[in-house]
Amino acid sequence: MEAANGTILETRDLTVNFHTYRGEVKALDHVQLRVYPHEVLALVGESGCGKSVTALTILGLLPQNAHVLEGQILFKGEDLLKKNPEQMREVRAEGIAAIFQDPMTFLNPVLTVGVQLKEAFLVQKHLWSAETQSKSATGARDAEIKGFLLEKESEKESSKRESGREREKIAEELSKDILKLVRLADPERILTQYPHELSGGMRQRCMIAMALARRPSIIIADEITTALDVTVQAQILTLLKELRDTIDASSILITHDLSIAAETADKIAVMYAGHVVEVATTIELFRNPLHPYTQLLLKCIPDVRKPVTHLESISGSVPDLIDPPTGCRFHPRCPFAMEICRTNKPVLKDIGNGHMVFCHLY
Amino acid sequence: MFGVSTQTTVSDTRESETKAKIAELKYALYLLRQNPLVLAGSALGIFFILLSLAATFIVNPNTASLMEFSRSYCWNSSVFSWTPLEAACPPGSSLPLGTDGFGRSVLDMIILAVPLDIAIAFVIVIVATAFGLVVGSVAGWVGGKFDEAMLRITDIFFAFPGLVLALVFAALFGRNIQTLTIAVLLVWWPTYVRLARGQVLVEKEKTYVEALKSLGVHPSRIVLFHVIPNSIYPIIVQMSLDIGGVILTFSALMFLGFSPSPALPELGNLASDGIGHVFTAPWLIVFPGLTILAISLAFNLIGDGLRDVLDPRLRR
Amino acid sequence: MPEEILVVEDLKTWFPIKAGLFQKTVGEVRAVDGVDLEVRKGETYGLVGESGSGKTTLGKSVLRLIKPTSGKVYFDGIDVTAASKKELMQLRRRMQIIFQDPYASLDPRQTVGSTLIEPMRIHRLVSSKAEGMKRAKELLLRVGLNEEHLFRFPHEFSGGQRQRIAVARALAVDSDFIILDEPTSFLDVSVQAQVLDLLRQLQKELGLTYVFISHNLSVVQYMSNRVGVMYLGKLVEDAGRDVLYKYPEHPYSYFLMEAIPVPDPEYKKVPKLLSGDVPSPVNIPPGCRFNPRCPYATDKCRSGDLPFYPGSGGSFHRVACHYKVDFDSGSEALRPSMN
Repeated sequence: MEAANGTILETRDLTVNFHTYRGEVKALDHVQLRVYPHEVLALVGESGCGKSVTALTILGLLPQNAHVLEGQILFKGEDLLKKNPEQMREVRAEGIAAIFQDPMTFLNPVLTVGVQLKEAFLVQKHLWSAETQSKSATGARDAEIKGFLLEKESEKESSKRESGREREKIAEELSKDILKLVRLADPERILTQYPHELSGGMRQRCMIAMALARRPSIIIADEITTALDVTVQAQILTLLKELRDTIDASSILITHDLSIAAETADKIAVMYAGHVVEVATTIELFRNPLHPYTQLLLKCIPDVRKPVTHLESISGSVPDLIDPPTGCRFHPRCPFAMEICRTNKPVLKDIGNGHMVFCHLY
Repeated sequence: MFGVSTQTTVSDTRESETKAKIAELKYALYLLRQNPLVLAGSALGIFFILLSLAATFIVNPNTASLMEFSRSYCWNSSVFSWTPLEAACPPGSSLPLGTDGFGRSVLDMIILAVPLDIAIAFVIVIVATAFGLVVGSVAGWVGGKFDEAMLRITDIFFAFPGLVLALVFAALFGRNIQTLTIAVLLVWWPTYVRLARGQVLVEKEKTYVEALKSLGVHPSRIVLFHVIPNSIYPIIVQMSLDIGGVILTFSALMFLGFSPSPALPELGNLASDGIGHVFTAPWLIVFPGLTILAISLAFNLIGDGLRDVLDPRLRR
Repeated sequence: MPEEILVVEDLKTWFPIKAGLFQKTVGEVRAVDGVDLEVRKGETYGLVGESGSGKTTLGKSVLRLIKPTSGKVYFDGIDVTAASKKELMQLRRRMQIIFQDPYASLDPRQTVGSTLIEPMRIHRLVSSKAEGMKRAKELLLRVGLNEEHLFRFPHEFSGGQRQRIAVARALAVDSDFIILDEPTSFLDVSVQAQVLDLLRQLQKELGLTYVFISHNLSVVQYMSNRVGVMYLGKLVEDAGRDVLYKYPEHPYSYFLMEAIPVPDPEYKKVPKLLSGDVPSPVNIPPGCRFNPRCPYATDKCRSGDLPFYPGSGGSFHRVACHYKVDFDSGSEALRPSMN
């Protein structure tokens, strides 16, 4: 299941361009990422850095005008870029689940939550086939759920394919259980409601439930709390922290807010203008940021515990990716820029302990 | 960020502003060039417009109508008979499209008819747009009872099939070019009212309009100088598409017998000559018909192309 | 003692909910439901709250961009709510607003220069286009842009630059009071400080008064002298900046602070969480509006009037809560009655 180097997902030299009428947008430039099992990786960056594009590329959901110029995406050893749309659909159904920022856009407004959630269960072929491999529930603390699922699976081992109605019923039970898992009160009622009848926080929990229902190996969460109020965001972040121990999956958490990453992630990968500029464990990144962009970014974040007398900023602005700066794309704004930064692109170097930097200073 | 600032004079600023506007235009033309259909349509459209302008130089309207002119080429037929069939000559070397029932060269007549049709189409579309913009913008902006009233009135007009409405009007008010133009105008104006209203409704909610209100800018100024210019693109697209439609409707009216005079050089009118003789003298109906088709097609293609080009710009 | 430049008295802004064939009013969205506050000249009053709190509606009602349902707003002595058209025009010059979305607040078809000059001419601050151009150029330089930007269109600028243009536009009419409605929430955190510092600098130079509306507590802390917390259409706490951040006394203020993620992975304190969702201002609970979610609520909180009690943070601290809660221990003591 895991690749030779222990990763569950790895992107190598991922380079993606967008073809627009204004020119070619060089959105991703040789992006290297590694996700290990049972790990939460935060992908952090500001507007235009390419973090959402990376997610879409992994999921195979890029728009028509995007071209992958180079690179591989190795998921459990297989290159996702070599798969056809039908195979990618299967991957999305059972391997990699995604949650996006605005549940109103991604939930079907004319179907109840129940229908959509059940669908997430019903598409999983392996749950319903006569020969079932029981997924190992190692590391699962919420044994009630896992036990229930295992129970259902072992029942099926002896029987042939159930009728559609039986499947529906089982899917409904599973749906209720998973809504309980995401701490939604009154799951019976929620299954009968439409997305617009729920509040923002509840909708986001439903999205999380739908992602979890597929028991994916990887969950990609793209700015899932950005549109929420801060008190609701706190609830969702706490939920994520609880689930992380329960669920047997890795997550890629995409956010522009380093504070959120600090709270929920094991590792952080910082992106800027299509490059990955630094990767480290969360504690290491905050204690010892190496890349100038990371250092400056950390200074820009106000900490509400201390009175803020001075807010830092980074001079200049994010570059236009149609005509990005030569060499290291951060060099025009970098206080430590050298001549080589303008001419040569840096290389992602491992400094030790998995701490990688993309900078000529090292 | 803090560059060296040079002294700017009034003429400098005017020059820079025109330069900026020219750059915008150049970019728009570049986009237009990318689309082959638009190119074809534009070429055809420009051809027709030039033809309209030059028509009276190519064909002398006086001589073209003269029987004498064509008589010498159609010696077979009894030239002095005024029945259509006998005077009509098939296409030949000197009369490329044949002659019509009056003995006039069909080609010459078509060349004379094109400017008339195009001019009428432009007049109708421009007047409909102007009226629609004014009424529609007010309805959209002000809302309330006036808006409701306009909606119901336009609904009523939409309920009638266009041609029927025009026919009724023409029947009531006589058949000259002016009344017929108004008849067709009646069919077209509601579309522009609705279009302008819809655009204003959308723009009205936008933040920049709120910002202008907060600055104390008068609503009439906001609508005239800000909302309408931002709404204009779909209206322009609609206008170019409609030119073809108007020509079709107008010539249909003529074709159905509402023309003021049987000898009027108008495409529909010309085609109506050949109604009874489709198999015996097909050139009477085919060539004017093809011309109507070509003009409609040209402006439709231009409209489609404009829509494609202007849309991404709207996404700014 | 600087005088009050803005006085808001029991301001209410309700939006009718219409339903049915005849569009009868079946209820109201009580976006702002009785707010009293004062802003002194030259200070920044921060207004904090989540969605449904009414903070943006309050800002726009003060400017009369949305017509208040009842209550009074006085700007520099002038009654804004009852102003005549002529007076309103003058007020529009002095009271400005910077909107949240820099990508939508400028007319996309107008050059920057034209955007700046138009309000100048409307308020007759310049008599010719050339004079307007000159002033516009100065304004752009003042907000950190170049004069060549005068001829460019908004889409050619970044979000931060567009906000600067919006600030320049507010200054173009010599306004002295600006409502800043989430001016940096759409901007990257690395450029947020640029715009905020510009605002602070201009305030110092020109003696401007700001009302800074935001859901971002850290940013509000940076910008404000005094802060008001809104919940469901009413102010629940109002204090000097340092007081509110050190000793929040209203439970909602406290939970709001607790909810902010801390940029320190080694910070182990588990935040106290509020249960439930942010409510909508359609069905407002009786008594204290916060009572359904408040873990310290008692029967007294569920009905009756809720006045402002004085807080412990000085003369300008007021709290709309019957109890003084010790958040660490969870104990609460009834505040002495106000009667």
